[in-house]
Amino acid sequence: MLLIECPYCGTRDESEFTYGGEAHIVRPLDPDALNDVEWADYLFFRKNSKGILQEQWNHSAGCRRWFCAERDTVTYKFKSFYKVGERPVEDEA
Amino acid sequence: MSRLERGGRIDRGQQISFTFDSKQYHAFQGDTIASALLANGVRLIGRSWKYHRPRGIIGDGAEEPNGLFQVEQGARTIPNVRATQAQVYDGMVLRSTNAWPSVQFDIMSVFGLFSRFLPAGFYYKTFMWPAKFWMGYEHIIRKASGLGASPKELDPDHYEKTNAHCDVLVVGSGASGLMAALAAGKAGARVILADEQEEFGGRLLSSRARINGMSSTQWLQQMRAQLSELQDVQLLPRSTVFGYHDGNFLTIAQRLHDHLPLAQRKGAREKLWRVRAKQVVLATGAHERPIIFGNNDRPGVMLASAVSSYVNRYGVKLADRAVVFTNNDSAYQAAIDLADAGTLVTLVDSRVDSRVDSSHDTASDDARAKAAGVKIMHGCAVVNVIGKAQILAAEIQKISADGKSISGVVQRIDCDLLATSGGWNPAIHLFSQSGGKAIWNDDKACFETGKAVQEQFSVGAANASFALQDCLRQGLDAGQRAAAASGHQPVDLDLPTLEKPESTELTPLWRVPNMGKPGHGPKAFVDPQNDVGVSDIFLAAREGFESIEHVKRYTALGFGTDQGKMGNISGMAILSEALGNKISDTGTTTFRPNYTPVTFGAIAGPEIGSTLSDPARKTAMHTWHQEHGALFEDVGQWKRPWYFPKAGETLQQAVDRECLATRASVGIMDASTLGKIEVVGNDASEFLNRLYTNAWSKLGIDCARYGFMLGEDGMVMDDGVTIRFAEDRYFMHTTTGGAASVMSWMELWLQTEWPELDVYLTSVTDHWATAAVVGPNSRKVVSAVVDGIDFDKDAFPFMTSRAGTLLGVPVRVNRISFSGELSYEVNIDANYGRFMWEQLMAAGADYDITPYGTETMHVLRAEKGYVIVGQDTDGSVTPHDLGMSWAVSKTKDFLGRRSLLREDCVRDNRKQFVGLLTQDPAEVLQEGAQIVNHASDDIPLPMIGHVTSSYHSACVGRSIALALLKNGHQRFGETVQVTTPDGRFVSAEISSTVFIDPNGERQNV
Amino acid sequence: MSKPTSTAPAMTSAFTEIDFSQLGTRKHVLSIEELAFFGHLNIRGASDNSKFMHGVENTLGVALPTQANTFLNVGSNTVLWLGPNEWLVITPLAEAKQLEQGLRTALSGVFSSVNEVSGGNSVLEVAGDKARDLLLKGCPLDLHSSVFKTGQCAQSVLAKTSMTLWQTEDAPVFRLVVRRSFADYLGHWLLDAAREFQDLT
Repeated sequence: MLLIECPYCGTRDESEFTYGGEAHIVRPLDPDALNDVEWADYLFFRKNSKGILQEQWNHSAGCRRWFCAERDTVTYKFKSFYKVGERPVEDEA
Repeated sequence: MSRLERGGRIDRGQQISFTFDSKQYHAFQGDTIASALLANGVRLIGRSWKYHRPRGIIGDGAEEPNGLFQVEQGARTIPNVRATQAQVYDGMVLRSTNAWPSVQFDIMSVFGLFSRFLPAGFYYKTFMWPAKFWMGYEHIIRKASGLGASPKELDPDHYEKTNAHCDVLVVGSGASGLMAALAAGKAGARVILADEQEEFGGRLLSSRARINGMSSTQWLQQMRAQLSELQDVQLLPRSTVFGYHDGNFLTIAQRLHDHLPLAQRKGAREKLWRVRAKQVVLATGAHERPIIFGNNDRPGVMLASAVSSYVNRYGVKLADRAVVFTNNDSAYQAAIDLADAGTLVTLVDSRVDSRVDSSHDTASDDARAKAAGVKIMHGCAVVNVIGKAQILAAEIQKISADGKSISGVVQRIDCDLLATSGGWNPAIHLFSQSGGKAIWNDDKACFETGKAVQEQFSVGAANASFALQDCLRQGLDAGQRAAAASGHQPVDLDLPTLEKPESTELTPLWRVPNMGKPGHGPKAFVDPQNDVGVSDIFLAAREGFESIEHVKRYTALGFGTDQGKMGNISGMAILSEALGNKISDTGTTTFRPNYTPVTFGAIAGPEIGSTLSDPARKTAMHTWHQEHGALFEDVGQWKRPWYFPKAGETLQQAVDRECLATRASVGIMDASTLGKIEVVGNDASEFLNRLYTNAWSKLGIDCARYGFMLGEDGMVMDDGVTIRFAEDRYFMHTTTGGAASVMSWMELWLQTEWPELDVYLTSVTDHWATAAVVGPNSRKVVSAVVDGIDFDKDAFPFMTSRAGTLLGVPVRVNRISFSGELSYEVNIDANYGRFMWEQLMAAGADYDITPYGTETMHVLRAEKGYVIVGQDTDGSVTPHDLGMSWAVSKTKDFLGRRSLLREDCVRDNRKQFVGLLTQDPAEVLQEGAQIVNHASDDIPLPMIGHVTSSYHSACVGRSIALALLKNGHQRFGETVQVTTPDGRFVSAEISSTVFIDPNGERQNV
Repeated sequence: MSKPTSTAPAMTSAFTEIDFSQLGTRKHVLSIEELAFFGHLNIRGASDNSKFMHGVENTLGVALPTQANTFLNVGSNTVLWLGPNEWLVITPLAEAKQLEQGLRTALSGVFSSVNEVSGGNSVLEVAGDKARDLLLKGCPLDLHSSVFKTGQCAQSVLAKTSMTLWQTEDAPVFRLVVRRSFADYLGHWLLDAAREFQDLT
């Protein structure tokens, strides 16, 4: 049972949230400019990465806001949480 | 009775009685089932599941593989209760689990004679072919090997569940757990201390160690007293932490009254704790493991630590003559405990000599044992035991220093108890569940915890530190560090002092080598519960199994209710021997929840039955429907009236009556469950343009429009009527089942993709109670009770909306229709919902207003060919497939539009929405039935579609059906064949989906 | 044509089928009470839009709380923070329509949304020594007095439905808003969950 930090309400139990898949998938501004293969890529294909994944979460039983998170798909550990429209903070190497 | 004259933690003042296989026995309050039976001299308590060999108690805790009982009878019966962990109460009824007809005479024990022919994988090899026989074999196998029996009655008990939060969760209340809890609690941390046993103390409950100059009993009392004084320390005995999940979320099953006589039980039986801990201290202890030798499963062979437990904690006189067989120092204490209790003890140590030179150190284990009268044999091993239902003697030979060979004469020592210790396996189950990796420690010959991956400390025996002084020190340290890590200032606590440090030195010996050919010597068991022997593991290795996970599944090693706590690690060590590997290379199997079995009751908690298992959402008119005989249907979580039968009516009769009355005069339906969303803002029209397939900008104020929402894949997702209340305000209806997901879908696009749009969404589903008044007389009924609206057909036309009042209460009346009839949907603040309904019923009395439910609604709309999303569509249907291209704009983009142009969406043999009229008008097709062209075609018949909706229609006077059919829109008038549940084919003609009023005149009157 | 016979419009509360009085009279241990027939207004707008914030403040007489998870009482109104651009105002039912109109007028031309949801919301008061233990049976929030305090609110889960919870007194006294259609389910759930506290004095 994950602990998730809503950027608006703070840290809450996973049961208050719903998952929204990979984040930062941008809807093509002009869908007609895409051929079927390109459209299918937008529609169906996701990174499914092993390791850090940027994903969308909705605080559905709370403030109902969507936000983003970086999570390790192997350890399930969250690396960061950020609002829609923001980008994750880069590690200072 | 085999009870010592004094000693133990049992209450000798409280004698209780219980029955085992119908025979009555006596025990004392504080006994477990195991100690009570042993104190009564009962050694044979069950039969093994495969060979039906006689079995007795081996351990004293969660590792016990044999002592499984059926407790009580009838609805409260519990299968597979572990004798070592369940307290005996007055009147307890026990039955042996795995013997038929009795443990003394077991017919199935004949299997034991054939054990050579029942090796690992026997069932796979023998019973799997031919496959069709498996069902028959399985029946016999299950009967022969059955563990406990589950109750057939409903569980009469109540179960609780709760969430809990703490700074520090301490798992296990032995020396290290108590120290950790006290250190954290004194620092002001919120602490939960949970332990599976009846009382706190862990192995100290069985120990004669002296701490701070006190007996362990006195020290435990003092610790418990200090803990109970701390405000924010929650003490949970009889509570098994059985799961360790992500985010330091752990689950605890607390047993509240299983230890009480049935008549004294009240309240909940168990409580499931769902704990979120900032820090976790795992003080889960360790399980002793046996050394494996010939016939090591005979009743009377026990773990050395369990022997100490029964002698010291329960005051049981276990034996007159005992052999203690060990490869380590810890078992010396068991020998001393036995000797002090009057047993003649021979200690067989596989090591050539013990580490400490006894002549110089009177406190050494060796010297203390000798002083207690124990005879010690070094460099020897027990190779076999004699006796079947009870051991009679041990056979002992010399063993080489490397443990690989035995030699010399067989020395036989008479004994009625054989205590064995092969070392200790840290209970790393929860650590492993938390994501940590176990690491092999060659020096200690055990798997120990690697790096913690959650906020967690492993201490004491769970941390492979088996000596008491280390447990105390690590517990104290972890308690202080956990408190600090959760924001509390640690306080100084003194480390308790011991009279002498414990020694736990060990030289690994997993099994005593067998000189005979494999499979021909005495059986030596690794996992007694599953009858997995050393030879089975060697066989698995010979047959090519190398992964421990495969060997586990092939041999059933570790599959039982003890989940391998007794035998798994030994099994891995023996596999690595068979493979010539290092144990670290063989690795361990994965520990998964649950640590020990958990009842389904505890997992389900109170959320059972029709009221609490899933929310039933009810409308404001629900009580009226109930009072008027409605039967209900589940639609999503909603309870919707299904139909309103009059006395003696069948479903069909009621629906026929409701349909006819509605189309002839007026019906009324509760439409409150439809999703309702206020869409507000300057960009509301633009937002709807992007969501819906059709265009919204030009819709007039107070006008309504039907729309489709598609997924981005172009498939119909939801539909409904949306009304424009103001330039910047729309009122959207969604389907009943789709309300929440549509809201979430809309917010997703608004918040993540189109934040530039000025639109706010507010769900008002629950605010409005809605009555749909339907039929040619609906105008008369609604206008009789609603003021402030001109109901003239031209002043208030179809697909418009008006605001009015009902006896002064504001209402919103929408002239929309899902039946093709003149129809008004009246919306009111739900507090007035029932009131409004009753007003409408009263006003409709002269027109015989007929309440109807979802079934009639379905028929009425099917007669008009109106789609129900989710019934006529299934996520693979486009608006074009439905023949509703008119609702799809060609001039703007919307979600899903591009997908409608994909190759698959424009091919010409897509399934399309059509009507079906059976040749026999009385034949009602089955919903879901497959459609074929010709029943006489070659099998397999190509299936060309399926029926989505089918009813008898009283208004049409025959059956009608809707279907999705390949290329259906090009095939009107053709005949197809439809399958029936009884195997027939029925001819049906492909028709329009509209069965009455094709020009739609009735709704416009 | 027959005219309906009823006199005054009758209201039915969401928990009408639930009898919380069966919990007994030991209110210091635990009490649950429905506070029916309040007016509820849902307000949407951006807290960084000063026109919106001023418009609401002028009408309501108090600025909307912008600190997450807090509420305030002003006069007969309770104003709860629901999110960065959403609030709930609970007001006497008789004033709800007028307040809705007042806010809509004051916010005319300002990006915002005001909607009455009185019929869909229902208020419960849960109080007593065991109130926290009761709520914890179905709520994942940490309600310990050092964590969740008077003046705080949160939207969360209760059993298998959602709720808005706020604490009005240290005693503790909690209030919660639940959706009307879930009231019957939740009422039964609460009565079941309260069973273990019924014999306590």
